[in-house]
Amino acid sequence: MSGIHIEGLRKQFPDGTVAVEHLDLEIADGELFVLLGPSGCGKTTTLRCIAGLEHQTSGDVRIGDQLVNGRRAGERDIAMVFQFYALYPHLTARDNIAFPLRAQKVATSEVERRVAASAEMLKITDLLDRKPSRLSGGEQQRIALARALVRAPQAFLMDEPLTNLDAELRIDMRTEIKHLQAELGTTMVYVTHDQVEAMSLGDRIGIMNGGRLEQVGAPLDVYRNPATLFTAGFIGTPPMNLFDVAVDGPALVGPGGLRLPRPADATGTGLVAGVRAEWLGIAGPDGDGASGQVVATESLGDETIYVVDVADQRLSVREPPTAQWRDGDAVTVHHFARFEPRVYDGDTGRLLGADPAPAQAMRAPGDAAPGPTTTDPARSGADAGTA
Amino acid sequence: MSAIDLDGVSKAFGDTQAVDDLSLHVDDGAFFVLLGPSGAGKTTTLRLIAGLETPDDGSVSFDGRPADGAAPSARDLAMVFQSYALYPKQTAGENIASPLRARRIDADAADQQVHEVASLLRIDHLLDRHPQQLSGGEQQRVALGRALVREPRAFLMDEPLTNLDVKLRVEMRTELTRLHRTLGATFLYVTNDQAEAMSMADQVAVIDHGRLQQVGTPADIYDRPANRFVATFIGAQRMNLLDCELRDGQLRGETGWQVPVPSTASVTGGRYQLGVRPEDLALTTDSTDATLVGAVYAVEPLGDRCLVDVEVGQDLVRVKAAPDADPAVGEPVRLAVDVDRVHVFDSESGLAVRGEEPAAVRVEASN
Repeated sequence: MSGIHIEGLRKQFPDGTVAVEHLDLEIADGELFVLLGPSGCGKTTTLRCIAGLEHQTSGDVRIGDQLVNGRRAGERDIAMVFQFYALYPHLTARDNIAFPLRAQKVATSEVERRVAASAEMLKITDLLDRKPSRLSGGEQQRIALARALVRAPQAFLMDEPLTNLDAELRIDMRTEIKHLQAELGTTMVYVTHDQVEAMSLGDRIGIMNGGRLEQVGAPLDVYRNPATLFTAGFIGTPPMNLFDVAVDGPALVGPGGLRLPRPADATGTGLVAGVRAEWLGIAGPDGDGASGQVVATESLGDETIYVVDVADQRLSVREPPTAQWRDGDAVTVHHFARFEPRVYDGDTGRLLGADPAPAQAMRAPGDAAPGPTTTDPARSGADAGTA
Repeated sequence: MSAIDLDGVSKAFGDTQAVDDLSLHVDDGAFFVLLGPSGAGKTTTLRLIAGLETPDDGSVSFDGRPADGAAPSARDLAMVFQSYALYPKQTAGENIASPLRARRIDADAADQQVHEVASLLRIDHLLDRHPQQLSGGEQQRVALGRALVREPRAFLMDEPLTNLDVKLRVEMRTELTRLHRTLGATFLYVTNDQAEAMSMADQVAVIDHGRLQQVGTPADIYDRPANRFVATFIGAQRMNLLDCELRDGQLRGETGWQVPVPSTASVTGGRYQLGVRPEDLALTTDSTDATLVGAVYAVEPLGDRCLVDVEVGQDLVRVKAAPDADPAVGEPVRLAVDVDRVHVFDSESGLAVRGEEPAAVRVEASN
C-alpha cells in the first residue's frame, strides 16, 4: 500500500484542449480520497494519469516512493473500477474475479483462497457460478469490485463506479465501499460528480473546476468553510445560499434587509455572503426578518426545503417536517445568530480570511486543521441542535 | 385541462402482466406522480393513458368521458420523454414552434406563443441556437417548451430529468413545480426517483409489479406507509426493518432489544418487523430498554447530518445523527428508538399493522 503524490500535473490533449491545468496533490497511504467536480473539470483525466491510461504533458506522479511517469498501466500495480462493469460475458463470476490472478500466474490454491475471501467480503459467495447475464446491475458491480480487490493492489482507482445503479443500490454500495476500504486500508482515489457521494465516502475531497483544484479538505470542512464561491455553490443539498451583502457596522445586510452577523474579516465592498439553508429560519409575515414569499417547497419527509423569494433573491431554507408553509405564503426569513456567514470577495470568489488554496491542497489528513476553525460556533458543532 | 381516470386497467405483454387491475383518479390541475422501481408498470400506464397502448381490460377516461380507442393525437396530450428528441437541424425556436406549424397557426401568433413559453422556461436567449449548441438541461427545457406551446389538456412526462446531472436535476424540480403552478395544468409524471416524487407531487401513486401499492400526498406515504414495499421505497434513506416477535405487549428482537407496541397498532402474537426511519433513531449513552446495541460499520458525514450505519446482530441499521457525530468504525454504540414514530409490519404479508386507518390514506392493494 502506498500514498500517491502528484506534482505540477498538466495534461493537454493533441487537439489543444487543456484538461488539467495544474495540480498538486498529496494522497496519504490508506486514504479514501474523492475527486469531485462537474463534467469536464479534469477529474477523470487526473485519475487516468494516475492509472497510466493517459500520459501527462508535464508534472510527476508517484505511487509510494516510485516515480511512475513513463510506466504503462499494467506496470503500476493499481486496480481500476469503471462506471461500466466490463465483465467477461462468457465467464462465470468466479472466473471473472480470478482472471487478474491467473494472468499473473498465481498458484491455483492461492487463487481459490483469494477469490473466496473477496467474494465473502462482498457477500456474493452464492453468485460465483453465475454468468454476468444472470446477475443484476448491482451484483455485476460487486463482481467487478471483487475482481479489483482480489489483486491486493497498491491502490484502487474508481471512476464513477456507481453511476449506472439505481438510487437505492447506490446508497447500499456506497456503504459497502466505504466499509471495505476502511477494512482493507488500501489507498483509494474515487472520482464522482455527485457531491453527496463525495461527502459520504471521502476521508478528504478534492473539488476540481476548469482543470484546477478549488479546495481540498475533509467533508465537514468543505461543507462549512467552502474556500471559493464555486465550492460553496457545488457542495451541499441544497448548495449554499450566495448573495451580495453590504457592511453596516457590526452587521452585514443582504436582500430585503436580511441581517447577518459580520465576521471580522468582512470589510469593504463587493462582498458575497455564503449561508447554509440550516442557518436560516422562516417566520410569519410579521416576523423579525426580511420579507419574502415562498416560491417552492421540497418536502423530503424528514425535512422540508423551502425556496423563498426575498427581493428577487431565492433563498433555500431547511425546516423540520412540522413546518407548514405553502407556496405563495408571505413570510419573513431570518438568520440564526449562532451561525456566522462565510463571506467571499465577489471579484476573486475567494473566502475572506482563509488560507490560500495551495497550502490547503498539500495538507495531508494527519496534519491538524489550522486554528481559526474552532473559534466559531458554526464550525465547532453548535448546529447539532438543528439536525 | 382535465381530470384523468383509470378504471380497472390491465395490460399484459406475453406472459408479463405489466399493469394489473389499476384504478386511479387524477384531479384536474394536479401534479400527480407515478412512482415505482424499473419494471413496475409506470411507463406502460402512461402509454395507456396517452393511447400509445390499448388496455386488455378496463378503461381510461378524461373528464369522465371514456377515451375508448381514441388515437393518441385525438387525446390532446403532450408527452415529454427522457430523451429530448429535438430536430437537430432546427433552432430551439423552430423546435418549440413545430407543433404550431403542424397546426398551421399564423406565423406572428406562433412567434408570440414561442416567446411566451421561452420566457416562462427562461430560454429566451437560446432560441436561435441549434440543439448541439445547448447543454442537456437546456435541451430538456426546449423539449418542455415544445410540449407547453400546444396548451394541451394534460402533460404526460416520462422520467424527463433522468439524463441530467444531479445538480441540474434538483434545479429542474423547482422549475417544474413553478411551471405547474403557473400553468395550472394537469401533470402526470412518471419517475423511479422517490425524491422527485416527494418534492414535486400533490399526489403520489406508488406502483410495484403493475399493482397500485398506495396513493396519497407525499406526507401520507412517508408517515403512514401502507406496506413494507412503500415504507422502504419512500425516503432518501431507507427505513430500517428489524425482525421481531410480540410477547407480553413488547416487540422483542433477537439481540434482546424491546420496544413497546405502538398504541395505534393492533397486533396479536406472532412475527413482525419493526420499521424505524433513520431520523427516528439517535445515538445515546442512556441505557433504557428501547435501545438497540451494536457496532459502528460505516460513517458518512454529509454536512447537515451524519449517517451512521450500525451492525445490530445480523442487521445493518442506519441512523441520522448530528452533523458532528463521528464515532469510530467498530466502536460499540447505543441507539435510542423514538417509540412514537415506529412502524410495525406483518412479517408474512408485509402489510402495515395499524389500529385505525387515517381517512386520508387509500390503501388499494397490497403486495
